[in-house]
Amino acid sequence: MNFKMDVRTMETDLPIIELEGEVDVYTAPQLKQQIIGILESGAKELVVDLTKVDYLDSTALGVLIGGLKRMREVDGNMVLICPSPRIRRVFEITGLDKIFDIYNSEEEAREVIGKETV
Amino acid sequence: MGNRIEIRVPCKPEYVRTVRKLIAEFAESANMPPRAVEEIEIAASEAVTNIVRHAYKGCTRNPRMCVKCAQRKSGLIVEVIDNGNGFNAPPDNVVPDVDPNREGGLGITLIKCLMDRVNYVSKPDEGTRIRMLKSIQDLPHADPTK
Repeated sequence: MNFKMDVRTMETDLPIIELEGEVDVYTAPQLKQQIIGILESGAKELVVDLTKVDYLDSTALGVLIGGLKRMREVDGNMVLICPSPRIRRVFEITGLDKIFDIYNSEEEAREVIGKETV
Repeated sequence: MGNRIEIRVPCKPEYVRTVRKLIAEFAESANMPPRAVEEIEIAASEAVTNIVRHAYKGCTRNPRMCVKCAQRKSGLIVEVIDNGNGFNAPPDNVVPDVDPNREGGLGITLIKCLMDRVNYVSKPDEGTRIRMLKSIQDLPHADPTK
């Protein structure tokens, strides 16, 4: 299995899920469980880092959409870090680049989220 | 006639990666350019994923799937076949509406956007055959004779 997932807390106390490898119909359920766990812990904001992802399928997109919807239901947000043009293209084709806030780096995401939450 | 491969794997999520990697290797060996290889890999993977997720829901038949890939003068053809529930196929060559708020249906959107031609034959309770073409036209680095 070419998939790895780590969860840590950013300096701003935001949870961040770092994904690595291939997120597809086989591995995306793990991401779903992780997002649900973070939601249930009461977090209202979440960062998902796709920097090290080299394959992302429609199942993974569905999981991310589900997470975003649930975050927004509690007036929260889920943002993505995705510098890879290859992965970004999947979001563009499906129109999801218009509903997700997508940043190129953790620094960029932190700057924007920090401004929104302070 | 060019080269061709046929892959038969169990209809399980853990085999989807195997299928897409084999299809990508075949496309590479057919001298398709890197971007086309990437698009073929995604489309094949999405078609197989659809089978794993939907084709055999509530179905008592033995879940099977078969992927065929063939090199033609016109380009690379990928066929993905199951004998599951079948579905009402959308009209050919219609670009699907993209509703970014939905969690399903994104696979078909990707397939139709990434491949040059997509055809469905689907019959209720008999299964589905999706045939996709990645055209070699406008791919200057591809060698159709190889």
